[in-house]
Amino acid sequence: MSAKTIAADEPVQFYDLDEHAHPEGHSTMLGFWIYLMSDCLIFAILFACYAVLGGSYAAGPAPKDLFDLKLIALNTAMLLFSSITYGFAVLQMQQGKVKGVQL
Amino acid sequence: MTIPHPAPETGPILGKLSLEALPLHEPILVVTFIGVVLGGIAVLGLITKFRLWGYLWKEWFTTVDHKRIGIMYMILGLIMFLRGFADAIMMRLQQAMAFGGSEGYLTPHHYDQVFTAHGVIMIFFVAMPFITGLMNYVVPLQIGARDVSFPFLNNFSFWMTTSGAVLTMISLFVGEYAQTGWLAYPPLSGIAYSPNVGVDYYIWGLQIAGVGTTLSGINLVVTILKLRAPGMGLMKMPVFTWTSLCSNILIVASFPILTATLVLLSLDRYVGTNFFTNDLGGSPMMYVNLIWIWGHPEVYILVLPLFGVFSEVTSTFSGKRLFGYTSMVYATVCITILSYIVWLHHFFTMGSGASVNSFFGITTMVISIPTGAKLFNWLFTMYRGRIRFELPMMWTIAFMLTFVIGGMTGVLLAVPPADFVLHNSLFLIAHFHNVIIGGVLFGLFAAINYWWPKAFGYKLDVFWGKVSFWCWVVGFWVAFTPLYILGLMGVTRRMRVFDDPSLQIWFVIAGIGALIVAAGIGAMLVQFAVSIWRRKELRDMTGGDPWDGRTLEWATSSPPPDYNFAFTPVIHDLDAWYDMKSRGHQRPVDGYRDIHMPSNTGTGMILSGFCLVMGFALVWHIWWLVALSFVATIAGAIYHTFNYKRDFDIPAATVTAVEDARTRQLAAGA
Repeated sequence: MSAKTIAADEPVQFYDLDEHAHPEGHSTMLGFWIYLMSDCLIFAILFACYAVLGGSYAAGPAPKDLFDLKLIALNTAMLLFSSITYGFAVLQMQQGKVKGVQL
Repeated sequence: MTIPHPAPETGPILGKLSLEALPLHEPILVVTFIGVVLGGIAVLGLITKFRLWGYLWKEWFTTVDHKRIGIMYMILGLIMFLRGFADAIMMRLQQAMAFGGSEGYLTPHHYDQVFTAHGVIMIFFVAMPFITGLMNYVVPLQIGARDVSFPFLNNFSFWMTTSGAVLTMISLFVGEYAQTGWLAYPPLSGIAYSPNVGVDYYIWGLQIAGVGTTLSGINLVVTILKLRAPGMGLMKMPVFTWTSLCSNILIVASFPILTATLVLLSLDRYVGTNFFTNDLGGSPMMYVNLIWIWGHPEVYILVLPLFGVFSEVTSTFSGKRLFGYTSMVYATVCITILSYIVWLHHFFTMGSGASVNSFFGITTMVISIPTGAKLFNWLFTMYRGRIRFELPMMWTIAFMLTFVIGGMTGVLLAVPPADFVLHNSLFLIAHFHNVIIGGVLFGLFAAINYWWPKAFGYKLDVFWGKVSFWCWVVGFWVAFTPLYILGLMGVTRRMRVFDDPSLQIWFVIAGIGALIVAAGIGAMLVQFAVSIWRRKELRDMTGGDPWDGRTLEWATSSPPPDYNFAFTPVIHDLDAWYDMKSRGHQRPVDGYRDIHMPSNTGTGMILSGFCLVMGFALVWHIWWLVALSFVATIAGAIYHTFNYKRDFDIPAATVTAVEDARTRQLAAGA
């Protein structure tokens, strides 16, 4: 596994004598992605439950009788559209384009 | 079915809470309560008398230092261990007594709470804090880091775990605990059959502690991936760091499942949904599947870090590099992955058919292959090594013998036809105590004896350590061999009274075993006390490396300074510290610089306090308090994001002073 082996008597550097700035930004990004992944798992479980139990009704009304899917579809589309525009805005912001953000 | 305790009325101010919630009619609980109150007053009084509040608050409660948080986790685990063990003794006594028409001394209501609390506390509030504390303390030192990636989050995680433990302890004196067994299977845990607050205490205790566990899992994964010292590639990490990484990945990938499952159970109980009820389309087996998809990885979360401990201990005390490092790493990763595809072996009797059962039976047996590879690696490490039989090594050898037998009974249970006979029998109980005590607890004791000198600068007393060791090992076998025998005869778990008088002798023997274990625990407490008392004599004169260690944590002083390493080490080989020593390493004695460190903050403790109040209010349906504490938690968290005083620099002068003191100490010791 090790890329190269150092001979036992070869002089090596024991310590990194320079104090480095902490690359905290990278850690925060990674940590947040891992956190998001754990959140995804919660939803995965909820979807799994829906897949297993979604078809089991006793006598009660089924979702079709209760929900108007057209309106919900419109709501969802609007929500997703707002997310994606936010995404574009953030991308523009990172490139420092004020006009792009305002658009 | 009759329900013994009708659900109490709900009021607007106190919810379900009333004076009747206090168990004044239970003499055992009243006496315990008086004992706890007197003990509590004594402790608080002593703290006040010696003016320790400021010290505790500034140096411990608000600390973001991974070493102190690690020690606090260990103390939490130890306290909860005493509670969980008291439950165990009560069960053994009840089962040894309740023969020939005797009802024993525990009512069903009380006995069912005792076995539930024993399981929940031992797993969530003993084993988890112990391993989290251990990983917190050791991992940053082993990878040459100054702290974990998110120090404030670390403090917050600790206090959330503590809040969960406190909520569980409150149930002892206010209301009741769940009477469902440690995984609270519905429909028994549903509102129809558990109308009181016991299961609610269970749910919110675990949810609050679960937040802490998940966050600390994320924290340690990021720490290991991002903060390793220069030169430490993944395949140069110490084995303990590797197993910790796998364990924390399992935490991050399995605790959300527990969270989601408990949320669905809460919905069933609080708003009348039918996810897990018997009727109206619910499926209790859905819960059982989900909880074990979390639950099986959980047992590997517990044992993997200890496999790492055994690797470090075996290698150090055999004076050799670990045999088969690469295979050890791959075995760990294999176990990590396989642990997700075996969950159904906990309920072969569900009736999922021969094909499904065969699949899970085979995957379960396959896990024993990487585990066996590990065992052979340890044996080959010892082979022709110069073995020193210090306490950590003794615990390791006891582990090998005990765990092999526990593992083999596990393979027996993995055979579906055998499992149909042994399911929920005392054989199962004996099996999992065999692997959890033999694996997790023995490993913890090895770890405590091994790293205590690192944490405090002096070794633990050997005599009392040996007393504790022999009591534990002998007591364990005396306590659990009878359960194997009883299980083979078909005795099921969680029984309160027995009809067949010929069984009694086995329960009496098991009870004696539990008493021997109690003596082992007592000896361990004496060991700690004696060692603290004689700390000057036991002082480690080698300046931080009492065992001739091989990994980086032994390169710094004992206890390590706040900043761990004055200069970040550069890694060239596996067993980095051994490599440095063999290359004639010289400690740099000047040229120190300012060191950038995170600041302490009380926010973690305050937020967790709000969460504790919220959990209590949810249990008792005190809705205004739920709303209030929820708003307080959110507001506190937002307020903390505006705290810009999060870090400071340790001036180079301070570092120089600390390191010069160590230079003098090393010179005196040499």
